[in-house]
Amino acid sequence: MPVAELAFAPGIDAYEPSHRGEPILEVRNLAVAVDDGLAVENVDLSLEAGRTHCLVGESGCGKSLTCLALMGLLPPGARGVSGNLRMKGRSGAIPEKGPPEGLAMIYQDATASLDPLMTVGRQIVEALPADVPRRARRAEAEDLIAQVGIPHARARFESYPHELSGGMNQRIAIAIALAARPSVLLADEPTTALDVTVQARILDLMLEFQQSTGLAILFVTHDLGVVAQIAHDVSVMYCGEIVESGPVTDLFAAPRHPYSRGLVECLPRLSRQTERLESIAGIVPPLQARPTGCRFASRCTRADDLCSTQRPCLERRGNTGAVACFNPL
Amino acid sequence: MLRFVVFRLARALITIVGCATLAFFVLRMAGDPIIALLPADAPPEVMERYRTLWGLDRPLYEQYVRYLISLAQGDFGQSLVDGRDALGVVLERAGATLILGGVVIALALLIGVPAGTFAALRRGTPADHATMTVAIFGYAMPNFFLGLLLILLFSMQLRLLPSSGYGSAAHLVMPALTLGTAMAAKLARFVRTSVLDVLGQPFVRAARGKRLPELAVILRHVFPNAAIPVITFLGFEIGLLIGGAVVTENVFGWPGIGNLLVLSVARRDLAVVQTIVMAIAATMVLANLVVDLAYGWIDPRVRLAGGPREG
Repeated sequence: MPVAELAFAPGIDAYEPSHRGEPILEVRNLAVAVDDGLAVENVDLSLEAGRTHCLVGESGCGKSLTCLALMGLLPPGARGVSGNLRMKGRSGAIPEKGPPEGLAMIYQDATASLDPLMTVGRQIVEALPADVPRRARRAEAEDLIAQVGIPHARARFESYPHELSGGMNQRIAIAIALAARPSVLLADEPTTALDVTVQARILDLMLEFQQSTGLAILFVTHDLGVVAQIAHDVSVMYCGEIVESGPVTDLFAAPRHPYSRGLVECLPRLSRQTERLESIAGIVPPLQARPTGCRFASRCTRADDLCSTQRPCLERRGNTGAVACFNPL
Repeated sequence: MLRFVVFRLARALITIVGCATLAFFVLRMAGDPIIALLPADAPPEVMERYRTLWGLDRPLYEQYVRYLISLAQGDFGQSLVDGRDALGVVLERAGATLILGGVVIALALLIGVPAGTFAALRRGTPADHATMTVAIFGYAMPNFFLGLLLILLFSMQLRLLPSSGYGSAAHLVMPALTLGTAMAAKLARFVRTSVLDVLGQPFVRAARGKRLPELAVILRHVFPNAAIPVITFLGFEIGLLIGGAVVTENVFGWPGIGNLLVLSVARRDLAVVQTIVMAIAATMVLANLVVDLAYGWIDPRVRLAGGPREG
């Protein structure tokens, strides 16, 4: 049985059982090759309608690359991609040119992902499905602008990205993603560039849409605070691989992988009296110098001989979740 | 907007008068026009008469002030050769140069933009390398040399095209190729760089993520953004075109301003040379003005520069 299904098999987690069902999007064995090797490897993901799956990890661990690969939008530096994508029952290879229908993405840095020479309205219109009749397109775009909480939608339709604030542009980026009427939304650190109050409002907005449309969201972030707020499920990524995957409650209450625990312990807590903030010792090994064994071994306090020679696979451990570790907690 | 245009026009006027001034003094220091114009054995009294007639016996500063005053009245002086109005003489030739220039620009755009875009989209492939190698050949070749090669091939060997003259489309082919090749080649390289730069922008990736056809992504998002630096380049090239046409017009006997310029300098036809220099400066200035206006038209950030930021 595939790992992802084991991890989220019905009955294992009791939280919000009403949403449990067939995954709307399943990714198997996603790998992305770049010049120096495989930047992303063995990635399995499973998204369900109405639920948020957070992909967490340090910068450069392959989170964004994973999203771009699913969208068929890999940068020119990427050599190739392999793996399988199953969406709404139809399965096939990972797309190479453009996303499959029903998949939309909110990109890192909304302002840079908007064309500076085109009104935001036209950029939304462009993203509407082709079957929306010409006459209805503008009205529909204005509706979307209003729905993402921007006042004076009609006037804003004519605005250019440089005339709007970062938060506004992020709302426009959400409107563009929703214009395609996706069933799965990939959100790549959509709030990282925003200040905290704007961040909270953008998150609320996304969750509102999720509740009304049953959208499945893959939310990429390195901010565990955000994860705690919005996630149903979490996958922790390290060095291009998923090292732990499971319900969000488990990750915070009882992380199994030493790396996950490290991440959770890095969170400053009011209840804990410490002189200084925690951090995980050591550095992420560069792509060219990844060890043959467990990639976290050199930074891990629980590592033994096996860890430096053999690579652990993501396996179900205990009742919930899966972990790739020989000596899990 | 109006203030901007008025300011630019005033600055343009200063530039043009400056060029005329330079031409005025350089020409008069370069030798006595009377000697160039009259037969070598003309009697000294005749020479003296003409010198007085044309005001060349006056001190230089007085000649200059008179010249400026008549310029202000719209009088560009008279040709020393046939006594006709200098502006008229130049305008008569302007048509031929404008036709040549227009065709050259069209040729450069029609070849340069698709070639550069093609190379950028196939970056790093043999197709890209081949296109850029051809482009380097195109602009490394001196244009008078290319002109002579074309004459050798098409007029002497194949006898397909007239080697010089004016009046039919066949006459236009070789001069246009001579000037257009280098411009198209430079444009192709410029467009390639510019398109590559835009292709790497996040908003192009986002546009592709909208499931748009690739052609729509290129036409709607890549071209307008890539056009901004290309327009600057085109402005310079168009401004330089008349000057650049001098050699080509002479190689092919094309009766344009460049041809007239060489002729008039040899004859020391002061008023005509000065008028041509002003015309060239005016084209340059005009091309730059058009470029600046085009920025505003394409880029809303320029249009609203200094305006309030809403948010």
